[in-house]
Amino acid sequence: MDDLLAGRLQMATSLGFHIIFASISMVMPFFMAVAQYRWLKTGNATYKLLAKSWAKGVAIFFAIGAVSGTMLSFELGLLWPGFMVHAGPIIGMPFSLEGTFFFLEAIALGMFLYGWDRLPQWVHFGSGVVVGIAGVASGVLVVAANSWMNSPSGFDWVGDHAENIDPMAAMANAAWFTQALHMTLAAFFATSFAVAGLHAWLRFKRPGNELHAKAFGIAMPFAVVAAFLMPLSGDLAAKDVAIRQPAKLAAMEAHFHTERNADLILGGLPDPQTQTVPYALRIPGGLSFLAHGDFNAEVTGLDRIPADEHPPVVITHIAFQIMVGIGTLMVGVAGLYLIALRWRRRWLTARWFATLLLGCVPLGFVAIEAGWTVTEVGRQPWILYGILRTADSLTPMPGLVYTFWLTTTVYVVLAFVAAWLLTRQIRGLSLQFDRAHAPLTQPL
Amino acid sequence: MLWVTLFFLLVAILLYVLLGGADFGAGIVELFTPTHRRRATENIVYKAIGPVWEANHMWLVVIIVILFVGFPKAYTDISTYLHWPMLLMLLGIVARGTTFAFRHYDAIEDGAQRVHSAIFRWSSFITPLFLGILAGAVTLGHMPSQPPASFAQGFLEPWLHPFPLAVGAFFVALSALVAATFLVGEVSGPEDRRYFAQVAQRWNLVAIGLGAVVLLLGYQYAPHVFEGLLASALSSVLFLVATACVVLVLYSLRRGRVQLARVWVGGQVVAILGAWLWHQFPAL
Repeated sequence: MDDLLAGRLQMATSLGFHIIFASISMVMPFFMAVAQYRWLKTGNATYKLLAKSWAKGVAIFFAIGAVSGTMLSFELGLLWPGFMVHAGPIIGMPFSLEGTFFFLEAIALGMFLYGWDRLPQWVHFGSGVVVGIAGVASGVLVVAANSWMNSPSGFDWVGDHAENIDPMAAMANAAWFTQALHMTLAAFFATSFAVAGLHAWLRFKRPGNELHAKAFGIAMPFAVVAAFLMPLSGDLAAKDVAIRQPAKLAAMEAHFHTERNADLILGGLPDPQTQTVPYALRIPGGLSFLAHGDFNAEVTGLDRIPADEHPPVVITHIAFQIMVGIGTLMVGVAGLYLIALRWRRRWLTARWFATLLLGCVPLGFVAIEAGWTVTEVGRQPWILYGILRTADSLTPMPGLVYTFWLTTTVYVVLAFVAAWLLTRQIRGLSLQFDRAHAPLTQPL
Repeated sequence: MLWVTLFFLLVAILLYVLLGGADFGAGIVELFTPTHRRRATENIVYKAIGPVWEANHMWLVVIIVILFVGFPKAYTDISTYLHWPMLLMLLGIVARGTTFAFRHYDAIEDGAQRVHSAIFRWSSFITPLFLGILAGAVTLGHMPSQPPASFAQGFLEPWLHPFPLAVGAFFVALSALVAATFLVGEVSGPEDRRYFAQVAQRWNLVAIGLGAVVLLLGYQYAPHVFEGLLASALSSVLFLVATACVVLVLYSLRRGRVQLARVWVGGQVVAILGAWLWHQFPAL
């Protein structure tokens, strides 16, 4: 493995890890707040138990998200000093704002965790809501830094350096809105389906335990709303990419030749040598319509892009297919749920339906990773689109393969520990519920 | 504008060292606690730093952001040539942050907490050690100005050197001192209070010893730093203040004046950092 590949893989692992935990800790606080709201409104202690245990889960995920995020802010400089020496002064703004929101989030989470029965109820509830809002704000701001890499703005590139730096213009770059919207919805989409799926399965397994039914009832509406908004934001993002980053769109769609009335290619295994896509399903004119809203619009293909500026087509195309495929599947599941709710109530307690939802638990996160791959790999060979190449930004330090393995090992271990802790949380939750509802004849 | 930026950098570094230091120190104090007291110490530590520890990362992020926004060249030099100590410090931050949360928010209590605790304590030790090494290496200024001839010359020698290592050890002791002094005020029983006061006094002595080593090594390996420190009036005064605080901390702890001891410890850290930063600034 050469140093460039090792550095890119290390960055990919770190971000791929962080994105999951950041997404979960962005969304879970809202569930926690809803559960608490219902407890305050109904006085049903099950909601309190639920809010309390979700808060513990949030604490664990937040801790992992926070430290992996701190790590990332350093890795930018550790791995890509040639990028940061230019980018640092330009994109400092979203980073410092993100830091502020992170601070707010940490304080509010501290208040929430320690405030049970100490703070006035509604102040306590408010702190939980602040955790969620500050979390989403941090996420949106971090995405601003990434979208700036996709659509650089706020400076003039003169020779080999940036001049006339305007940090606000850099933050308000053209790709920010569509990317931030898509990412935030994706976090809600993946996390809600994961939480709903887990509790749907547990509800099926332990029908007497109303806790899981209530948990499912909170998470599933979020999943449904996110599922139906997702395709809309995806469409906005794709249309934006078509204009600003034609090379990325061409790689996503394995679109080799510039043409009008371009086909939408579903699936397939692109072959950059022969510039064909065998095993694919083609929808005539589909790409022209999706990219530009007109079946006869011309879509730029890879033939218009200089060969040394082509992104890796195979990875980008397949990742895009995975993301869209999973998304479509889960919109279908959300649709089934609505049908069940309206016309087929017995589905809701059926084994097949619980199994289907359980199957969705990891899928949303797979889609997030795939989408992340599309946006990052699809930008290559650029680290700063059209201006600075990834290869020219790499640290001169040799032996990156060792730092790659070291950080990867840490992240893999952490991922396993987090998954294991999650099963313990669920076990502990069920135990607590059973204890609270044990028959009175049994000693407590 | 430069001075405003520098001012914020100074404040962020101070806050991180003071608050983050107390945070790391709590783990270090735990590490050096005899086994039979560990459980009690763990609970006290949780009560003391549980609600706030994660907020402390913000100061570190602020430091790094100010560095890359305001001083991109210095920042990229540091992160290129001090890659390894920085990476090890980060892995320390990751390990201690996660294990602290794991041990306190795990739903089931069994042997797992012992593993989390062990990792938490050791990473609490390693993180300030490498943070100190980074500060020492920046002070020493052995970073190559041209592309290095070898890996060792470019990426090890700038920090694998007696002076930065001594600064690292000194920072560990300082963190433990700050934490122990802070914890004295967090416990309720007079017996616990006496115990932590003792711990704080011990760490104070260690810090004095290591501080002397840092000065001696600085005198030998970085005479320019040493002279610069004494040449500037402000640095000299701050240096004297730091030394005076050491004595005052010991005195207040003996007399059981906890709040006063906290103030002196804070003053000590501020003075040490102030002296260092004041000297460091023109040639950051």
